[in-house]
Order: sequence, then C-alpha cells, then structure tokens
Amino acid sequence: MDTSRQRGWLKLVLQVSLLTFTMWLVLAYSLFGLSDRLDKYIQDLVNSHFGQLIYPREHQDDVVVLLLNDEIVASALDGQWPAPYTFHASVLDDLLMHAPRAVFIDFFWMNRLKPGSDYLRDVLVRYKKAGIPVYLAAPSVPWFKEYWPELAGLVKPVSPHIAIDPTDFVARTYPQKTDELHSPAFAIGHDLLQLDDAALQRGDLDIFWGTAVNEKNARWLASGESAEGGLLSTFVDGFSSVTTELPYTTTVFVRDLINPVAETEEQALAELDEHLNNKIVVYGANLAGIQDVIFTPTRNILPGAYYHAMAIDNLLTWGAEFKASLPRYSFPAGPERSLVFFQVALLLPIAIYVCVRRKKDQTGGNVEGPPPEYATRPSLKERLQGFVSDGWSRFLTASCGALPLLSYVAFVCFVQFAILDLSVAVWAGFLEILGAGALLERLQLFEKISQTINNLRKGKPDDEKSIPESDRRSDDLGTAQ
Amino acid sequence: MMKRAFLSLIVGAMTWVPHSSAQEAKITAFRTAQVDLFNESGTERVGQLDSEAVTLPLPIKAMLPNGNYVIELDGTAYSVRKRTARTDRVYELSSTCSNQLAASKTAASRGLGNGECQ
Repeated sequence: MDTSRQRGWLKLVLQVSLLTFTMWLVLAYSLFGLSDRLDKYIQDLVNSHFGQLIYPREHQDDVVVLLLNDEIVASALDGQWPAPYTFHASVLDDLLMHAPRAVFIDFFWMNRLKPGSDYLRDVLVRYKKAGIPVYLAAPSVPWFKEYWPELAGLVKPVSPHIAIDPTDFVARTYPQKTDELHSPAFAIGHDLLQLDDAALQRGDLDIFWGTAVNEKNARWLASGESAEGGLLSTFVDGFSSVTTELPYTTTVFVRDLINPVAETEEQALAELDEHLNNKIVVYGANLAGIQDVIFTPTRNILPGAYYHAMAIDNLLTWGAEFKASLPRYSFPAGPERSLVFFQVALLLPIAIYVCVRRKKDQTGGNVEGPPPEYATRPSLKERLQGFVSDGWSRFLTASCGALPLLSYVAFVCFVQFAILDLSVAVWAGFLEILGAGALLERLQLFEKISQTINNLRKGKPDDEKSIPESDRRSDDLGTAQ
Repeated sequence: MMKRAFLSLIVGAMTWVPHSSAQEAKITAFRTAQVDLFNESGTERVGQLDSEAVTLPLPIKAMLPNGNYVIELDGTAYSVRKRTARTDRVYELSSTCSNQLAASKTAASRGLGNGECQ
C-alpha cells in the first residue's frame, strides 16, 4: 500500500472516529438537558399512539385496582375520612372471600388511636393462613416498626413513592426502592415473579402505559373522552389535551365489593369472582381533596393506585426484561459503561456510512482521490434551477440513497427496545441524530468547515476563499459594470 | 315563629336519609361457620357468632351502605357482613350510583390542621 493510500485510510478512520464521538456526545449530552426532555416527549408520543401495537395486553386482566371513592365515603362513612380500620378490615375481609393472588394496600395508616385494629389484625391473620401476601404502604421501615408492631410478619411494608419528572410532572419512571423499602411492584415482582438480581441492578423501571381498551371497564365504567387527535394532528401539535380516560387496568369500586348487586346473590358474587379471583389487587383511593393523583405519560390524570398497577403489569408482561434506562445485558464494568459501549457500537456503522458516502460524493466514486474545491460546487441559484428542472428524480435518488441509513436506524431502535430492553427515551436520540445529520448536510456545514481549514493552511484570507467561485464571478461582473 | 318551624320541618325532611328498607328480606343461611358480629351501625366488631346456634331464617331489619345487614338477636340489634349471609332478598337493578372515574383536579384539601402541631 503506497503512502497516499495509507494516508487516505488513516484520514477516513479519523473522520469516522470523530463523527462517532460527536454523535455520541450529542446523544448523551445537551445544553440544559433539552435533548433529554425531547427524548421523553417522543417516548410519550410513541407510548400514546403506538402503545396498542407495542404493549401486549396479555396481563391486563391479572391486575385490579380496588377503588375507594367519594360515593362510599359519603354513604358508608358519613363523609368521615380517614376511614376507621374497621372499615378497611371489612373491605379486606370481603376481598379475601374472592381469594386474590396478592394485595397491595395503598394507604398510609397513620391513626395512632387505631379504632378497629384488632379486627384488622384478625383479617390479616386470615390472609396469612390463606397464603396470600399483603403489602402495606409505609413511609419508612422505622415508621412501620413504631406504628404497626402488631402487623409485623402479617404485611410487608413497601414504599408507594412516585417518581415525578421535574420538567413535565409526568410519572413515567417507577423506582425499585426508596429509603431501603421496595416499591410495591418490585416487592410483588420479587416475591411472585422471582426477578433475578441482574434485573434489580437496572435501576428505575420506565413505565410503558397500556393503551388497549379494557373490556371489563368499558362495560360499566364512565370516564372522560380523549380530545387527542390522530397521528396527523400529533405531527403538527404533539399532545393537545389532558383528560381521564377509561383506565387500562381493570377497576372495581369498593362500593360494589361490599354491596354486591346482580339479579341474584350468587351471580353478584360470581361477577366479583371473575374480577378478583387470583388477581393482584391494588386497594387505593380516589377522593376529592386527597393528593393521590398522577399525570401519566399518555396525558391522563388518574388516581395514584393506577401507577402501581401499571408498573406491576409491566413486570408481569416483561418480567426481568422491563424497559429501563440501562441495558438488560451488561459487562462486568457495569450497566452504565455497557450502555456507552452499545451506543458507540451502534453509532459506528452510521459514521462509516456517512464518511464513505461523503468521500465518494466528493471524488465522484474514487475513494482515494483528493477532495474537490468547494468553489466548484454549483451555486444556490444553479441548484434551485436544477431542482426545478429535475427535482423529482433528484429527490427519488436522494431518498433511495438514504434508505439504507433509515433502515439501519430503524433496526438500531428495534435492537435497543426489544433486545437491550432500553426505554424509548434512550434511543429516541438516534432519530434526532438522523434529523440533525440531514440538516447539517443541507447547510453544507462540513464543506464550509473543511474549506475554511484548507484556506487557513494555504494562508489565504478566509472570507475571500469561502466565497464560491460562481458568486465571485458575478461580484467581479458587478464591479466591472 | 310558625314560619320558622315550617321551614325547619321542610329542611329536616330534605336532609333525612333513611336506612335502606329491608322489605322483609331474610337471612336464610350463613356462608361460614363463624360469623363476625358488629354493632348496629357496623362501625365496631363486637364478637363472633356461631352460625349453627342461630335460628334461621333471620329477618333483616336494615341494609347498611357499609356492607352490613342489621339483625336482631335476643332483643339486641347487631349487624353482620352481607358477604357472610345468604338471603332471599330480591335485588333492584335500577341503580342510581355514579360509575364515573374522575380524578379530582380541585385545588382544595380535605381539611387543614388547627395549628396544634408539636
């Protein structure tokens, strides 16, 4: 191999390395985290509009939200809140008759007077005997030990902490642990699904919100209609409304559990059995004036119980392959470094493709030839005239040329979502890089920078040489006139 | 004076909410051998009942919205969970309940503390 050829290859390798590094920097960092915000917004749009295609509904029926609402507080509790423990015990007692698979109690029981706690304890002993695990919301382990020593061994304290995004207040991530307490979904996942330790090292779960219609809810539950438009309006406006749509998770009101009504008693109990038997039940509240609501990635406002229910559903659906910001597979160096490695490895082919293609464009197919002067490129006027005269053929040629790149980026997104189990926000940056690359190409920034460097090397004034030849000709002509 | 008394009567009639009428329904059997027994309003558990020892059918005095039937044992009113009993009750299916799921967007609280924090 002669020296010029070696130099050509070395230059190409350097260009590829530099472009890969630049793309990775763009992917990982941005001013004020703006790119990160955009990635999350794209994730929410993908979730809302492609949720039914991406998220399987096979476990939609396995998780149930048992909701205590204003109506039951007004009628059964005479408007009194918090409810006495006798009431909660009665609800749990009725629920036990339907043999749920597990129960998460999404209430902080903070009344130290503990009216009815002996009955509550008896009911929880019955759960223990039936082999049904019960999880109780608690602010911390010391709090639980101090407030509820009599429930030790009967319930497992868990942290119902909600991770709210500081930018848009959307609850899209779900913590594994808070203050040494497992979150309900991960506690249930650990006990019922036997999630392995590797899965537990991946940090917070990125909730993928189910969007399929829940047939059981649709039969009886009324809710606000979505004002969101279709895909076309999304491309123009993004999200345009906030509402409370029919929830994805199967819902039962406490009212219907404690006062079952149907044509016969047995039919009422059978209907409840269909909803509650062998299900994971999240017992929570939806009360006016209680701040237990969340803003979902699909721009819905829902009671907080649905947040836990959806996280449990994600774990049932994907198990250890839940979506997160760290990859499922990692090297001994750790998941963070593994993510960098995977990203660089996936960016490298894009950089090679772009650099080789650029080199071919510059040399007219001869990769080893010297790059032509920028001044030989047609002027903007000539390019516009060219586009008008044979624009469609050029457009088609350009589209066909970009097709391999588009296909590769689509493949990369698929690999990251389906194999590495990374959330959409992690790989949405690849789509942005594609867009940014197209913009840079249009602005011919690389050519301009390269020309400036060449001029500086030759010691010629920068502003003189950076003017294209055709423009200089017209300037001279103007001066002569 | 008369006018005020009449007004009080009207307001009283409007705010008075009777217990759901049992309409002579009866408990025909219990689903479990041991049944939790509550006070008349169903707010406190007072003991347990051996279902074998109860003479059936047992008239239901009232149906409480908290999920209990009021019954009378030895001249004293108690209540039992609806779920523990089989009845001959005829259900009315014309529901007036709200099936709306609406997360509250109100900027209000259920009540403030009275400044007695320590």
